[in-house]
Amino acid sequence: MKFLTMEEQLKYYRNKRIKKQTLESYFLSAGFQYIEPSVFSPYTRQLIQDNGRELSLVKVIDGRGEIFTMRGDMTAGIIEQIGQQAIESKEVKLYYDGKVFMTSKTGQVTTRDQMGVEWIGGDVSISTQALIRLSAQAMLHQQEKVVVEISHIAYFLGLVKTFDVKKACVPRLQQLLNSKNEDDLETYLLINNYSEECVSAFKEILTLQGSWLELESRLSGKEDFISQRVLSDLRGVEEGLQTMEANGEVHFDLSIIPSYDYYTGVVFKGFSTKNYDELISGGQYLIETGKGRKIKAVGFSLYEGALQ
Amino acid sequence: MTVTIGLSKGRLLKESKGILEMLGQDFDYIKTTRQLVIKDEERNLNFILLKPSDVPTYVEKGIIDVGIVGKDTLIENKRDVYEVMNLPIGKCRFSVAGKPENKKKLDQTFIKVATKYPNIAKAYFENKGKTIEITKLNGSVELAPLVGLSDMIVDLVETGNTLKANGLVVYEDVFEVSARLIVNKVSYRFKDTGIQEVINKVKEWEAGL
Repeated sequence: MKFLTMEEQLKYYRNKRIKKQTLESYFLSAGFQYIEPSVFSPYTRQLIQDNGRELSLVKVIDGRGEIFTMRGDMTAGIIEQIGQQAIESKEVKLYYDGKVFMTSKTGQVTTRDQMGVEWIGGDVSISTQALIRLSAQAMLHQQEKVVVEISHIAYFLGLVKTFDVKKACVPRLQQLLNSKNEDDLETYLLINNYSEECVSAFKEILTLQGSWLELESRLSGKEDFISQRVLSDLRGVEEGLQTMEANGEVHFDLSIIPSYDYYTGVVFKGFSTKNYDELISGGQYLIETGKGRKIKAVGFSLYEGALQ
Repeated sequence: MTVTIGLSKGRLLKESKGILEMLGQDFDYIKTTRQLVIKDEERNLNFILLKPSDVPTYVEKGIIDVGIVGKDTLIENKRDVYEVMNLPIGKCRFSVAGKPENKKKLDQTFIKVATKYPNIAKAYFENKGKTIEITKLNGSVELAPLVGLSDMIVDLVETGNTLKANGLVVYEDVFEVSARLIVNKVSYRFKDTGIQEVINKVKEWEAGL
């Protein structure tokens, strides 16, 4: 961002600081503690394996020739930093505020402010409900009206497994579903020799959206294990969201499939009428402790638009 | 809640006649008016006429809720929008073309390419393992191989008449494109009823073709 005068620049940063302080007060009063994830991670330990993400990572070489990545995502950094210690505690509630680094499509290194929370351990249905409400509260500050879209990654992954979809095809399918591109989705699956049944199943994801009652009625007719798990997990979250703030809406949409591959369950993102881009995104994930144990966690990040 | 629809000026506007009529609009008025914003308060619709390459930008930024735009423009601009429908208009193909005697240059590892679509050209030749030098042009791309600015061009070909008239031939087709109905992600949620009505009207028009 370029400013015409120093006064304007200082005003911008003052307002942003005030906004961040307000958000910080929400997080503190909800029992979250501050953490500062490290800027660098050894390259080989990156959790993100998607090729698009890989290309966007900023890599640096230290004096010994070791390759490091600058943090491209806060959650991955926090998981790396506290994953081992988290097993010792029953529940950890953290918030962060910092910059993430990425390489743009034109090859330039850019930074983005990111603030967010992670709730590690405990009953994941309760923590997810709490974080969805907290995210809506964070977005509602100075915003007109907000909507939180909720999905479940297991439905898409279940279809990938059922129809034995090649790993190389998965990112494109994610992209087509995320852009609601039904026509290209069908063409892509057919030219890759997937069956009509597979095409119908993936296209159906685009119809699995609406209010909770609409989604529930569509999913409850399905008897497979994945649909029942998705239904049960979403029901657990939805029950606590019936009393959302008057200007906060909840919408379910199973075609929302985040590109971060660490999500394992319910995922969500938020928009407001005053902003054209998504303001928050988050979801449930598992932390592997290295001793075969896994801890359930949930978190969300607020993007630039929510911080201005 | 008013839904604002962005229309691409030029050939795509002419081919959007049926869609606009299905939406209750007077196509001849839209085609000839000098107004850039046309309001239909009765149907809660606004129409904005734009240069095709600007339509995805306006939709992504939420100034426009729904846009009609060529897939070529979408690929080149890489905007974050929903692509809810492939439309049976604006059909053409991306092709690699040049002088007949230059076709063997496709086998070279280094090729000079002129195009209005540098991202598409770059992605296509990179996938084929070719090193290319791209010259970005804004019009009359066919001139480039004729005057030696490039070995070949990557451009949209509809009938092939312009190529033929200039003694150029198609070497390879890159992919086929058509127009798309695109929607802003936030509008899709907040104006869902109005936008769904527009989508249903377009589907109704398509079904009647």
